[in-house]
Amino acid sequence: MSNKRLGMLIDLSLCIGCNACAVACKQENDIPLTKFNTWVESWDAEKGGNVYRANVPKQCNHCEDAPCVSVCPTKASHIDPETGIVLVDRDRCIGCKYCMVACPYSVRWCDDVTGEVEKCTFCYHRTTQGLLPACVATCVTKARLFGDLNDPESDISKRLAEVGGGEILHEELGQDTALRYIGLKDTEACERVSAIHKGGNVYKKYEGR
Amino acid sequence: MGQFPGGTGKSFQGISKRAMAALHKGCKMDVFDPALANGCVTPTTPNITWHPIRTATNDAFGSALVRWMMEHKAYNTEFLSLPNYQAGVAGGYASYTDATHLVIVDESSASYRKFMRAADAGIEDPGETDSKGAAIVQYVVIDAETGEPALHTKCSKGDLEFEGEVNGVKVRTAFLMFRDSVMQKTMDEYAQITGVPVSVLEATAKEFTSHGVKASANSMGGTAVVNGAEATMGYRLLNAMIGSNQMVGGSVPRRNSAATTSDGTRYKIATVAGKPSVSTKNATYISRNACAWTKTDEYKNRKAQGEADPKPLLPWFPSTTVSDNQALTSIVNQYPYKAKILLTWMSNTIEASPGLFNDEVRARLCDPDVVPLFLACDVFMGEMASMADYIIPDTTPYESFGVVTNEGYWPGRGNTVRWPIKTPESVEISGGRHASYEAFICDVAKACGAPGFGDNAIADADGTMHPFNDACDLFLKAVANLAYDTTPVDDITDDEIKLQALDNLPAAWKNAVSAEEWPKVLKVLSRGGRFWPIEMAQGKDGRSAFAQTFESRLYSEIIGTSVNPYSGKRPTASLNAAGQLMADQSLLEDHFSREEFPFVSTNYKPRFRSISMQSNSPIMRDLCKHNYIEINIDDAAKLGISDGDTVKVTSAGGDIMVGEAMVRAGTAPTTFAVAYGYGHHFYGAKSWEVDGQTVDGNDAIAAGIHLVTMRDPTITDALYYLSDNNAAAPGRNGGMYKIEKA
Repeated sequence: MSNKRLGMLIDLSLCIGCNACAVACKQENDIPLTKFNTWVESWDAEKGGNVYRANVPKQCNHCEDAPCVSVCPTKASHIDPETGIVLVDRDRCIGCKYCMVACPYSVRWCDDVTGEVEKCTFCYHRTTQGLLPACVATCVTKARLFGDLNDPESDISKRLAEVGGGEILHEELGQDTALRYIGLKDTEACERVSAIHKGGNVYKKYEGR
Repeated sequence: MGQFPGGTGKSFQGISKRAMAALHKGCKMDVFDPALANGCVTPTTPNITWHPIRTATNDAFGSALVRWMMEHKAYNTEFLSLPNYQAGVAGGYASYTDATHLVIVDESSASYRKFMRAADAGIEDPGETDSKGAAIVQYVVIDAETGEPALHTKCSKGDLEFEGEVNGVKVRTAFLMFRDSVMQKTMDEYAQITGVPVSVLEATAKEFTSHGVKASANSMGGTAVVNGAEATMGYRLLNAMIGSNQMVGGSVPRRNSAATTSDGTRYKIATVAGKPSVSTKNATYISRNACAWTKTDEYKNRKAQGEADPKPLLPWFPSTTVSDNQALTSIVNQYPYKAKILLTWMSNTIEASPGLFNDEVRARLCDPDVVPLFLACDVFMGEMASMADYIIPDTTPYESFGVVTNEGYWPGRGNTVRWPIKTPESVEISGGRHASYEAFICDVAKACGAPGFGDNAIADADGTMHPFNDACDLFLKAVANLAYDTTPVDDITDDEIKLQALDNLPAAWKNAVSAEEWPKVLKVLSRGGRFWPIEMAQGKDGRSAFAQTFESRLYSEIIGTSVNPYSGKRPTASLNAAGQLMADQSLLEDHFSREEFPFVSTNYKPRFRSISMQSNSPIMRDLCKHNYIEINIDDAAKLGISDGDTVKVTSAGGDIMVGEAMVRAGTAPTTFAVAYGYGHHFYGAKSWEVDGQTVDGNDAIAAGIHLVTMRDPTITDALYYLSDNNAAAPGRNGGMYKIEKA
């Protein structure tokens, strides 16, 4: 058992919402149409009388105590002991979708053809070979940082130390996630003044003030 | 200050990347744009603010800022007093203006509204020529030291505010003409027009003039709007007011290229022995550019035949050189002459000129009496190609060459090189080539006996001739020029050749350059281009290293001396809040009720499409299925429209669009926004039968709406759509519309 824990830090003050991460992920991982391992949610956000366009990339948060893993009846969903990455073993997955229900972040999807459940693997096939995840490697503004959270000398650990550990999505759920954000609370504190778009598609309609 | 970083047709990612880095380093940006796009304006990005502005009011916006500068004397008097480039450089800048140049305002003078020349002032013209041998026009200024008239090239400081007589002729400085122009409206009126509060206009002007030359207005120009040229003038002149053109930290030169497809170090690609001499001196652009109506043969002939006041069927555009949408307008109207053959390449002009996409225009383009032969060389059966008589197969970007400059306001020097990474899927033709635009052009040119093609086409530096029969013959020579520009690049190493499998490239490529050049050409190919160190962009004393003679004109003589043929009106020759002027200089709002049609359109560049392309990409469609009719929250509330409702947009000309409403705070009031690149009619949306086989159309490609723009109500004898009177660009933004729940 390694004491590595691979993690990602997304600085929202650098994310331009270009969706290159979503495209790179689809191409790298051969994700079928209509499914996404990572995506960007965007909306108009008002703060102090000014309007901004918020961009928040979403994906598997790689929880340390992952609910998807606990509910899996076949142990297909598991945590890789070498990296801390939450993975799905396709050979064991029976497509019961318990994990999809259990996931607090709704990041899992079911392959319409095979019936297997999939989600972000932090590009396990790349990151275990010393490469960056496709979304990180392609990010034009370096909004995404990736590395070992347990190595205090890694770029991500140093940056996390600077920003007080980063922010966790839905912190109220008490998850210790390997995905952290900078600027999440400030973004969420703004009044939402449009629909939320996933890419460019409406994810949640705007109901008005 | 400017429009959305990356939202104006240039590289979104490239510009946003650089803008984001600058913002985090403390650079302050104010974005004035009708549509809040994705990009740098996020809630947590520092130093950036979005200000909603009504479409088609950039002219008023620029005028407002200059008015404030005039009222508060916040402009750079020292810079504006420098009458020529040498004086500008000596003064510590990298540009100059015509601010001190005198304009003849004597209505009785034959040169009324022209700049005063040496002869007008009774000063001897020294007869100087520039580096290309062209005569230097000598304008007249009042020397600030002596108070006497002087030639602009011989004076180091001019009087900015002279008004009086020179040689018995009434004159004023261009600066005063400019000042009058922007003072025509009050700050309150400018705020009313633009929708930008006076406080924001004032604060922006103050901020802009508070950093010396370290401020820049960018991306405000030629935005496919009727008054786009005025907007372009606006941003150029805002930079001129503070002397920041070509200064580091200001507005620096871009597209700094090596000599590649021109006459370079190794090959003289632009020089073609025996090339026919065709220019505006002996030919007329079908697009009616680069020639004033009164200078046309048609005008002269009709005058000679006794017509008192001939009017052209379509407007002419003397101040710009080419325009694809106007060329198409001319072709369908067979004016000023008939196009016997139309050849389009990789072009979808009708899609990018939304006024033109209608049944009447399409029927005319399909009519052999109007266009006897229409050839389209394209990979796609796009809106334009769908009307062609013949389709000539072409190569995709992955199968073709290109040597281009770096877009996206990149200040350095260098060129990217695109080269085929796969064998083209087009049909194989003679000489081991694949069908492509270049092969087609070479073969047709050879059949016509045109010089510059075939086996003795391109001269190297020693004068030895080389063949041009396919794309590689030309582009790899351009890459050789790039590789040898200034200091030649190193040869590629064997390891790199192996690593990138460059030993498998076609023999024709290697044969296109010399054995000595090939390892250097490979070095450039292996890196996707050649870029000089970015540090070299910084010149001496705060100037860009790429600064060249640069003049900003506060007064346009071409516009100032023109008389509108339809109404006899003289357009204002300096930046002013012109508004949406039609071909006869009347306002669009004079023809339709603003009360009934209160909205203007803004047609912006989205993340997931280009103007005419990308809807064929399943991933792009997956990211965004269709576009929306984006409406401001308050406007939507007044109209009873909720997010997601189906709405109908009707132009004052009766054109109708129906789409899904996106109700948002990120659209300026009274403007509706439509991302372009959606709502295709062809480009894979429609089924086609090719050689007995049906290629099925895909409804997903047709999803969304394509903005429709209006006809110009003042041109009734021809098909003519809202157009920029000066830049000849299509009026894709602006117009007059009403919106209702469908």
